[in-house]
Amino acid sequence: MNATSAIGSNVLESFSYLNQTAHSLIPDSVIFSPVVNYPYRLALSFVNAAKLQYEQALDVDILWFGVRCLKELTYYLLSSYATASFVTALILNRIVIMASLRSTANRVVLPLWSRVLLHLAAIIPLIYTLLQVLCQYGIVQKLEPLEFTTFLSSTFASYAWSNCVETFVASTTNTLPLEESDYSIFELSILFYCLKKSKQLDLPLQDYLPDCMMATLGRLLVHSVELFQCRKYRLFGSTILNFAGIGHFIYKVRWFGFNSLPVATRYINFPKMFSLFLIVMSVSTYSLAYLVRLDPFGRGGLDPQELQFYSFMRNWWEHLNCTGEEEFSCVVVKLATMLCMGRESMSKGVLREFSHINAPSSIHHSYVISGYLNNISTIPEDIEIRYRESIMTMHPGTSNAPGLVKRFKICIMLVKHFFAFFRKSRAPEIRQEPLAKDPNRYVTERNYAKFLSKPQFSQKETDLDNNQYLLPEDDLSGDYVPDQSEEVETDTEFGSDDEDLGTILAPESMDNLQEDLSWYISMWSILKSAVHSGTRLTRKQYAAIEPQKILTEVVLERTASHRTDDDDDDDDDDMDSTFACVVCKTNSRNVVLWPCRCFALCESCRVSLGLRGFNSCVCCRRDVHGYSKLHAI
Amino acid sequence: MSRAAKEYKTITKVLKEGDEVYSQLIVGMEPKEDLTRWEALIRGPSGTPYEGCNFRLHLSLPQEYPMSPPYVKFEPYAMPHANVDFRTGEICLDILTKQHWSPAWDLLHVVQAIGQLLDEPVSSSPLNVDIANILKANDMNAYYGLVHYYIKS
Repeated sequence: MNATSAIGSNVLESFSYLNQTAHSLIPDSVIFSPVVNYPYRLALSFVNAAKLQYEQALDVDILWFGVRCLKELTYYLLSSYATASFVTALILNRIVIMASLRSTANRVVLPLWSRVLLHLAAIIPLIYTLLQVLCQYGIVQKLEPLEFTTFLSSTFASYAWSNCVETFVASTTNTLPLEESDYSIFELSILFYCLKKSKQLDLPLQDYLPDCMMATLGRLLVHSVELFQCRKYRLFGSTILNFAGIGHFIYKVRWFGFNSLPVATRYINFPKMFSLFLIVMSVSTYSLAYLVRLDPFGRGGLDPQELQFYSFMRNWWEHLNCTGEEEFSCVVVKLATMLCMGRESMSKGVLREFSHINAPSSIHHSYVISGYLNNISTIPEDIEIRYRESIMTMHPGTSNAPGLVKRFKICIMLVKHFFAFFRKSRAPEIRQEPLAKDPNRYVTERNYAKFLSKPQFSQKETDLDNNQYLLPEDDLSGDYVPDQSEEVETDTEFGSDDEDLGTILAPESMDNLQEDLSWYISMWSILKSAVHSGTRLTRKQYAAIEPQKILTEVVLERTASHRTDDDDDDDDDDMDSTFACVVCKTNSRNVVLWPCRCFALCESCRVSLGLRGFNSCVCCRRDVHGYSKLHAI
Repeated sequence: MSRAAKEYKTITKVLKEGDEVYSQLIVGMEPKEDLTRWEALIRGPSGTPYEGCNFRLHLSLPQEYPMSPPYVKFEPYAMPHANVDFRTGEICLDILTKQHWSPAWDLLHVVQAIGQLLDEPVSSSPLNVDIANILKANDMNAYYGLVHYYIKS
């Protein structure tokens, strides 16, 4: 018995929380007191034990990060600020719900006296808080500076009160309450909680004052805007306020480094700053692209309207769809989101012009490479050979034996080409002999203009002369590349030597408009460039410079010859059915597919088919490996 | 949709002038409401149980036509055929699937292909299993009888 009591007293000494005999709910003298007191003491010792364990756990220096966060969070949730913000949120919630019970059909205007009264009730504490903030800075000395914790709680109270008033007024008048997204009640409560803690740790408190000031000024702005019923100017005021805030922010970072900013401030301002950064980046990129497009110092810039974001940048304010009641940071975030999405401008921008090329919503992966998108500019026969070769290399078992043969073939081909080269270099001498009358040799520096002049028909002597050209069909000059659409108009008779350029350029009779037109198209540009550059423009160069003009010229000639055929009506119908693209039945065909050589598509249908991943010819179902453009006339 | 307009022109011309291929098959063909919905009336080909009876076809052109095939259906509960779902009128025809369709074809080609399908049912890919089984068993009497039973009733 003694031993056990000794152990008992030892235990009580080492675990002091077990000894709760001093505590009692009811005085011991009362009957049945143990019935109440013993359970109470038991519970008390249990709570104390848990508390001790908890404190010992927290006292460990290196606490696991998550646990520390949890601890901080628990402390915050139990703090008076959290409670206050919860209560405020509850009140706001009740106000809104009460208001929603009434009909919300139309706006109500409060009588002047109540409006003024309510807002003044909010404004006066806010002004007092503002003065206190300045006081804490030491700018205003007339006011007695409050003790810091009192100052914080009074600031919070005035802020919450202002929120309540604003929500009440807005919901009674059936409008949306103006809110601060940067400093919500909860953020402010966290901020102040941190401040209170740092006060205990003797950290510099001046850093937080700008935040307090921003929040207070923001609320003041809201109330004054409501008071004077000019909600639409809120954004304007908020922008000025925020720019001032950002200026201060930058000043701080510039002179005291990033670490001088308190953590809460960094977090609160991050969305705003990041959005601003995005906007600045996008706008500067866009303006750079705009500048490059416009090319103000060079000659002939491109049209900046083709920029994808052109219409968006032109109308960004309309796109934002602001009423002016929003807050600066809300607008900034919205704008940044719009700039990042791009879809907005895709659907509203210049790209909608190309809707006829409807990009498919999904492409089967096996279709990604379509022959319809493979432009081929070499000799089309290559395709078949190349295709066969690719098949041969795909079967390595059979390609071994032909390898030797192929090499041999290549050698023979090289030798052949070698001889062909020599034969070609000698060719002009050989070929000039039978064509001793080659008229090209008569053309000299002095008289070439005459050869270029247009034929001057008198009405009677036409057909025979028309078919005789001065320059022969087969051109032998070195720069000549056979061009199917090349036509040369020449004179059948030599003009007199005195003719100068002016008379050549001016067609003399307007009877033959067709001839004049084609003559103008081709000759005019040839002569013009001759005047400009001082050198004669060869036909090859001309074809390279203006392929479209040669085309129109040939088309003109064709239509002229068709007209002489005298069966216009049938011809048109036939043209329609035979030369229209088989897919759209509207445009004329101008795409040849390889290797099947089907000539059935127009350019836009080819693009459309290619984008949709068609791989076989629409007519003959052979695989398509490429296409070439062709002008059928 | 200019393509559909062109086809409308061609079809009216073909039907008016009487093309030797199509006039055998097509009784009438015209767009409903706009050019995306069409209705065609085709004649049962001679030498088949469908002879002497007309069938209504509903064609609707998708947005992407002619890049995608048109949707073609017979009138529901009207077409007993091995490759036609009797209840919905849905047709099982390879050129009407996206893989086998070619944009070079037009509505006349489609109707022609369906006419050919009436002539030669494909019992290996049935939508109407009963008729397909009868065809597989090569029981021509039952085939004619069943089809006539449906058509005439």
